[in-house]
Amino acid sequence: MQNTTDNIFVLVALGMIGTFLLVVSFILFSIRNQNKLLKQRQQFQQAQIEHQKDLLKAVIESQEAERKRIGQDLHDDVGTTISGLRLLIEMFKPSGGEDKNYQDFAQSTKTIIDKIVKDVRNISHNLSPTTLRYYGLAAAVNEHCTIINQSGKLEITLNNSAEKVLENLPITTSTAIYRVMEELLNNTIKHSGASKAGIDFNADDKLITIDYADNGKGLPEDIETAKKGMGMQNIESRLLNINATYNLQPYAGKGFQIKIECPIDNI
Amino acid sequence: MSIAVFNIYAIYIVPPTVLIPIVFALLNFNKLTTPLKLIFWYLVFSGLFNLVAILLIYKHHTTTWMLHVYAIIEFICHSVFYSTFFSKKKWRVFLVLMISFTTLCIVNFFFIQNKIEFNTYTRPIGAIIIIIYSLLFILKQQNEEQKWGDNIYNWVNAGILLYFASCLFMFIFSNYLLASPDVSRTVWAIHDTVLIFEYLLIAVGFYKCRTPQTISSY
Repeated sequence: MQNTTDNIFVLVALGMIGTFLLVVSFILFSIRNQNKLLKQRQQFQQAQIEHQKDLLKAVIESQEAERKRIGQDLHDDVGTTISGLRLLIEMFKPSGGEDKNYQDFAQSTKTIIDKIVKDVRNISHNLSPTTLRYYGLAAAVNEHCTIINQSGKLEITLNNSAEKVLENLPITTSTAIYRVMEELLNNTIKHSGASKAGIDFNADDKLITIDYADNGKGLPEDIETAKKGMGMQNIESRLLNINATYNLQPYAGKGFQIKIECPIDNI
Repeated sequence: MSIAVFNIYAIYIVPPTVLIPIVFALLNFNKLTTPLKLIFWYLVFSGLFNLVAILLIYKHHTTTWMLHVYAIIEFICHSVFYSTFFSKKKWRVFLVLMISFTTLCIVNFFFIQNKIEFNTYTRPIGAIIIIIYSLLFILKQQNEEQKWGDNIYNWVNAGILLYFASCLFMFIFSNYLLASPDVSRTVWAIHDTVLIFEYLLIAVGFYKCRTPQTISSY
C-alpha cells in the first residue's frame, strides 16, 4: 500500500510538471502562430495599399496627360482658329463702304472673339499650367495667386521660404502640390466666404511644409464630414500619391487651416 | 523537502506574491477595464482568504472546508471574467454553469465529501470548465489583428490556463496527498510555483493596461 501511495505522489508531480510544460509550449506556439498570422495579414494589407497607390498614380498621371493634351489642343487649335477668325473679320471690307451697322457688328464680334480667346487661354492654362512646367511650382502658385488677387475675390499672401527645394521638385510632385493649392484656393473662394488667405512654403532637409490658412467660416467641428467631400478626397488622393500627409485644424468660426508635409526623400 | 523550507516557501514567500499583480493593478486602477477589475478583486479576495487560512493553520484549525467555499467564488469570478469576451446571448450559458456548479459544490459539501476532505469532485470540474473557457478565449483571439503581447487579456488568460491546467492533477488527487504530508509538500511546492507564474502573468497584464484596449465579442 505504501508503494502505491508513493507512486501517486510521483505521478501527480510528474503530471503537474508535464502539463505545465505542455501548456507553456501551447501558449508559446499560440503566440508564434498569432504573430506570424498578423505579420502575413499586415504584409497582405501593405501589398494592397501599394497596389491601390499604383492604381491611383496611374489614374492621376493619365488625368494629367489628358488635361495636358486637351489644354494644348485648345490653345493651339481652337485658339489659333479663333485668332484667324478675328483676323478675317478685320480684313473683311464690305462693298457698301463704311457702313455704321457693319462697324458695330465688326466691333462687337471682335470683342466676343477676344473674350473667347482669353477664356480659351485661361482654360488651357488651367488644364495644363505651362508656368509649372517651365518655371516651377513657386512661379505657378504665384501666378495663380496673382490672377486671384487681381480678380478681387480674395487677398492672398504668399510666403515662400523654400525656393531652392521647390525649384528642384519633380514634375509629378509639383503638379500634385499645385493641384492641391488650386483646390484649396477654389474651396476658399467658393465655400468659406473668406477675404484673406495665406500660403507659407517652408522646407528642411527632410520635409516640405505647406501651411495654408484663410479667415473664412472654417470647417465643421466634425472634421470627418469635411473629409468626405469631393474636394478633400481629391486633395487626399493627390497627397497620398506623393507620400505627403496633411493635418486639418478644427477651427470653426475662425477660419480654415491645413498643414501639409511632403517628404523630400520620397520625391 | 524539509518542513522548515517548505513553510518558509509556502507561508512567507508565495502568499505575498499576490501583492505583485495587486500593486500593478492599483498603479493603473483608473485604466483597468471591467474584466480586469474583476480579476483584481478576485486576487484581493484570494489573498485575504489565503491569509485567513494561514492564521487558522497557526491556531491548529482545519482549513480544507474553506476550499469548498473558495471553489465557488473562484469559479464565479472566472466565469464572469470570460463571459465578457462573448456575446450577451452566451451569457445564459455562463449563468447556467455558475448556478449548476454552485449547487453541485453545496451538495458535495453537505452530502458527499465531508469538511475535512478536499473537494476533489467539484474543484477539478471547475478547473476543467475554466480551462475550456480559456481555450475558447484563445480560439477567439486567433482572429484578432493585434500582436499577442499587446493584448492584456492574453497575459491574464495565459496565467489562468497555466495554473488550472498544471494543477488539475493536484486537485484530483488532493485527498490521496493527505495520506502522506511529507511527500505531498513537494506537490504543494510545485502548485505554489505555478501560482507565482500565474500572478506574474496577470501582473504583466495589469502593467500593460496603460495603453487603451478594446474588447470584441461575438
